[in-house]
Amino acid sequence: MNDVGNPFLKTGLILVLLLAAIAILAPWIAPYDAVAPVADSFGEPWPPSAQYLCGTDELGRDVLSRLIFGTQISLLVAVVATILTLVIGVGVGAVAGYLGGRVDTALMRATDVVLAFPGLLLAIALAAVLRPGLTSMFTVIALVSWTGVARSVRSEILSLRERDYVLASRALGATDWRVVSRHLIPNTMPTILTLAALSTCATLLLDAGLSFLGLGVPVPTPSWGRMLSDSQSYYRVAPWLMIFPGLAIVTAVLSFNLLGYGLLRLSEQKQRR
Amino acid sequence: MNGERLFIGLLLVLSMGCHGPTAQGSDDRRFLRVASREDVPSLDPARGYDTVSWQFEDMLFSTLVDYDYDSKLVRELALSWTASPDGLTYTFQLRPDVHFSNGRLMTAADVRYAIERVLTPASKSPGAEFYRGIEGAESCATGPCRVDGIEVVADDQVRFHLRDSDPLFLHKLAMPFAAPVPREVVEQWGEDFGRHPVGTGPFQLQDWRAGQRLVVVRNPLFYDKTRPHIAGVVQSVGVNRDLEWMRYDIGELDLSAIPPPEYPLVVRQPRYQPLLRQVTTMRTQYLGLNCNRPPFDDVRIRRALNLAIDKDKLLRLVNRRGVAARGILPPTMPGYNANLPGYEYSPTKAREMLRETGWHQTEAIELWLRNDETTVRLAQALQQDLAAIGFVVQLKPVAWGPFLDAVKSNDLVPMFLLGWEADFPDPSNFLDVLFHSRFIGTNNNTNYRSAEVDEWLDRAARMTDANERLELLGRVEERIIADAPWVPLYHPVDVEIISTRVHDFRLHPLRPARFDELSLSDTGS
Repeated sequence: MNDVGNPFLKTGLILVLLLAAIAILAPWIAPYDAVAPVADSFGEPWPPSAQYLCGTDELGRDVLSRLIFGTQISLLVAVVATILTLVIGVGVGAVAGYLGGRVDTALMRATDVVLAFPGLLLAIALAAVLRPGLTSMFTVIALVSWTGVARSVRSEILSLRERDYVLASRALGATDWRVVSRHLIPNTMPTILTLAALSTCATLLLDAGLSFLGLGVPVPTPSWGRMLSDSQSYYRVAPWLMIFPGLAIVTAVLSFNLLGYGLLRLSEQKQRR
Repeated sequence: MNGERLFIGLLLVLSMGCHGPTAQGSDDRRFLRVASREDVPSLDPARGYDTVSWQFEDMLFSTLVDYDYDSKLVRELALSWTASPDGLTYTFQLRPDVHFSNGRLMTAADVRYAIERVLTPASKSPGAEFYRGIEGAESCATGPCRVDGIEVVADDQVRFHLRDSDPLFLHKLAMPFAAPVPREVVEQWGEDFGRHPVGTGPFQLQDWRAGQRLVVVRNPLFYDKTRPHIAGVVQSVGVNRDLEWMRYDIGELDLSAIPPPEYPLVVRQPRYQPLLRQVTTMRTQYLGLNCNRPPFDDVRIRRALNLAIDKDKLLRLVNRRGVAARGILPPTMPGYNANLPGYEYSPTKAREMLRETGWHQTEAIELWLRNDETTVRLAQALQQDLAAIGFVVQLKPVAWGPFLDAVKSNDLVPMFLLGWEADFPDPSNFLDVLFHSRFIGTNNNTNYRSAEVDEWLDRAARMTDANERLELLGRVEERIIADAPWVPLYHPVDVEIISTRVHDFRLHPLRPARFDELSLSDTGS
């Protein structure tokens, strides 16, 4: 991180670390319980005040506490789903790119098939079939979002595998597995990291979207998307119920976007050097 | 019937912008424009037994007798009727000029056929139970249905012979189950009659695209030539209550419920005041506990739950549109016991009682409910109250149709949130159909079984002295409350808002709103 000319990376990293800290420290920093009622505001949400900084909702719960605990769910879903996405995407991409030929064709056509489905609709269909819960969220999100990663990794590997050091390694009798795991994947790492950060943004949005549609973690577990969806009928009476979860989603997505863009810039600069 | 009116849907984005091509007539100013979240479950009067189905069945079919706005029985297809002094025979003089919407004259034979059809097991009618007291009804269970107790005296005269006197018989004839249907059309369509209904009502079905919209138009053959005053009704389907309200507010709908979040704003605005319509329904919202399933096979746990629920909190979530329920019967029902103590709200006692049972919760218990926004909100309030006494509940929101099927099963659903609306103004319509063991599998969804209650209910069904009967039914209610298969929650008040071009619209205390008496003006939105 000696690069002063890359403010995106720094800002993104700070924001992401901040979000992670909020998620980890949630039980200590949240002013109230996120599920039990803490205010007598049933049916008529209270606006933000000194006591309830982001107001309370129609079930007497503190919005700020729910947002803070919601960070846990959102980040957990985003990170785990992204890791799964990468595992599938990098796996498919690396195999297709390295082996080429019929395997490549088969895998890439399969990728095209998945890509051809509208992502959110596919996710809704999957989420409707699976039992609602965290595991389903991970699975659904990973299953619809690995395609982009697979394509990028494949094209990267395609160009890398013709490099001299790969040829040399093979000439020395290295197995395919060793070539891929020791030479090719480490060299695609900058790309993968960037993809990871950007894919986290997409994941966060998809998670919020699915929760908004009622397909996320079951109530009353606080989740940003669900809070946003619950708030929509109160938008005229209690706009704070909508504004704060919306801001939380925007902030999280922006953080990972900045991080991803920063990483992209970093790897470009390294290549130029 | 299972009520769903006050409820609100979710999935706003899904339903937005996909109500298909413009309905024929939906731009026509002579049509009443309404909307609902879910499609009508059935238009077959033998089948439908919920508020949504009955709303449209009432338009397409007529019954011998009907209710006025004071819930008193009045004539409809029958011009007059007489009952024998022993209460065993009822004779109806029918209107001579009633036609089905396919053009055929309706006769007494059609009245008989409709009830025989409901009694035939193959029709799977949830209403069969109501007509078993007619002589000869038992023949339907075994072989070809020949209910000789329905005597076709003449084309315009029909006589019913009952095995025992039944003070509720006229009420049963006012239910859509007993609406005359044309045999030839039923036999032509078979199971699909509900998709191609033909009846004697003020409207007839014009177009029904499943999940999109339903259009009924004026029936030119309707016996009362002064009604209806409108050309028809267009119902858009897949419109949740939030969207319904927004579309009303921009002048696209003529009738709407008001979502609880918006309600305080609406009542403060003077321009809405003359447009609001309100009625106290004969309905009870309740939390049902499946007595077959542990832990609810233990009456102490059921009672503990009764003590744990803050009903005032629930009412606040619906803008106090309703009154807290202590018992089963709604306040407008004859036999309502204003002095019933019920259960007070006392989380401390509830926790204590739960602890005394020695029961230990190993996993969260599923609470099933209809998947719409207000219901989910109410269920979350229940979830909070139960969590406060250490009883962990997990919500399971399900679509209306599958939900109604699921609660009928023996032990699939441990607890559920539902409402019941009276079919007729008599306490037996709650106490009998919801708690008698012979209704297990149909409407007794808590699987409550008490030999004593069964015996009392059977005795009450034969009683002719109204006061004695109500007193016995009062004992039944007290016993059921003590046995606590329900946590009675509240009795809702329905509020609807009409557009400025709608005139003479009233909500009915007992039936879904009727559209054959209202009129539409050309001005207004």
